Amino acid sequence: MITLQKLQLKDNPFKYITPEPKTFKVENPLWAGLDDIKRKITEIYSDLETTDAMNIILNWGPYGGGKTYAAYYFIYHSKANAQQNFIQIYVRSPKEGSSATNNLYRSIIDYLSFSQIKERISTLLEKVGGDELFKLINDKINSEDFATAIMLIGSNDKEVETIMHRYLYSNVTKTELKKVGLARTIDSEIDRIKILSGIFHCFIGDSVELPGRVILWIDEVEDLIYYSSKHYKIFSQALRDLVDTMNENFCMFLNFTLSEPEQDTIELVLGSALWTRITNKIRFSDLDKEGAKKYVKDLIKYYQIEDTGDYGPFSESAVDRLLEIVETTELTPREINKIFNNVLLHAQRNDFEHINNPVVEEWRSQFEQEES
Amino acid sequence: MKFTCFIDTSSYINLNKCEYSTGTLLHLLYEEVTIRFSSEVNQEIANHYDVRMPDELKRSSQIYRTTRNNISKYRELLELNESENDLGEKDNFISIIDLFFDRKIIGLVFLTDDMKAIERGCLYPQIKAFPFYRVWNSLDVILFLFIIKRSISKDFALDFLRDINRNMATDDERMDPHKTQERINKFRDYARYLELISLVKNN
Repeated sequence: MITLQKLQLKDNPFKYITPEPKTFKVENPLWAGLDDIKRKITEIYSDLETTDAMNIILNWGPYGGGKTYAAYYFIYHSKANAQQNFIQIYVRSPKEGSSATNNLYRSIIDYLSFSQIKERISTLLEKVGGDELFKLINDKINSEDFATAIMLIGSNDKEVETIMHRYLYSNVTKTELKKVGLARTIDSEIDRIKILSGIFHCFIGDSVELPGRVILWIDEVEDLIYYSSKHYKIFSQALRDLVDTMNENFCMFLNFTLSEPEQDTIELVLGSALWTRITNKIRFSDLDKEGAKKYVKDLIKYYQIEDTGDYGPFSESAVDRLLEIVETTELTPREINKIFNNVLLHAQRNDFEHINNPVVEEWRSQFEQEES
Repeated sequence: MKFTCFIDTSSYINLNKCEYSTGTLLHLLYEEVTIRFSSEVNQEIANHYDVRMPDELKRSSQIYRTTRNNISKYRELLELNESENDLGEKDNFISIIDLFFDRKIIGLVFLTDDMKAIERGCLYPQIKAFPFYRVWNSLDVILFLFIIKRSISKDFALDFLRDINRNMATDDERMDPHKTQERINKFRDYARYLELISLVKNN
């Protein structure tokens, strides 16, 4: 079996068919092809740095089209590029409708982590003082109880810290509530949205002291199709309330998988109230032939030991032939990776140093035999 | 004249899960059509009994018993395999054929949410051979009820479509992106049909 190094590759460019987090934690994470999409999302991130607008972005397109990859890339890339005042959150849409808002809330709190939330609030308390911070939060969420609770998260008292950690997960006793001087726990969907909104505003700051931006990626939003009408309305209302209480310095990306090119369908699933709040729509279309070749070239170049400027170890005509084969299903990054990965492994097993059309045809006839 | 609707277990359960006013969509369907099912389906319903469903006594009056031939003879004639799977659908199918050949009743409906059985399973291709009934699923029931009942608004009907679509999704054991796209497409299609019906109803 020939090694990848013999094929002049550092690693297999096509081995991942779902985004692998560790591949983004490098100085220059890979972005292959899809130049237009990268440009559009980069512009949104740039706008966030310079304006205080709120954006709700719908990313939509077929399964395996790069939406989740875009989320991971931009989250890690902006961290690497020292956009330190961006707080980025990635969550998946809850699968179960019956406790969807609670699950979304917990996923966000888990992702942020109690320690990070506490650190931020403590820092703000030092910078602006208790009265100012209380006003900042209460003005946004209209709840003195929850504004007080959020401030208590920043307390340096160990016992208070422990109680407030459990408070965030609605796991406190009446005695503990009394101990920290709070009148109520987090009970309803509205309560959870107010708490989230208040915490987000702490990360945003007051635009003078520690100004920040909150970017929330919600993936697999198409799973709302599995909610009953009752639970769908509750969850959709919760998202709308979150958007309406944020209003500035906030960006929410909604990733929606849809194999057909009809936006009306997305509006039907999301509901018109959420739909009308969407400010931008970015379509992750199936790639055309040129876009697919660019994708393959960028991917291979990233993993070549030496940049040869071509598709090595693949010949260009082999790449063309393989893309014709992929086109019979869907020309998406995922489908491209599946097929190219299989051919690369076939070449390794059979000690082929170059992957040209005869190698592709040999793989294809073997593959078709196995399929039948 | 009412439709005569041979309902299978999957649809019976899915419609029963949807509450409406003081009852369920199943109750509404009972009001508007003549419900029938085979003895096998009745037994399956009993195995999934829910207090909102009609009780054993009421259901016993809806059991259809074949008259021209017995069930086994029909299975042989129609080349329905002897496997224990999908017995409810098979016996309902036999019942609807028997009823038509015996009494030439029109307005027959074969109601099932098991599209697998119809499209590529135990009833395919036999289900296509007899053009005297319509095949419905529970989503079609929503459209039907929207047409004939003034009390059901378009918004309510859309909510019911969402609920039934969701119930049908949980029946399907697959949990993959293709299933999600199928359910989205189904919901989209039926929302469009609802819109068409609404346009005609209001003009």
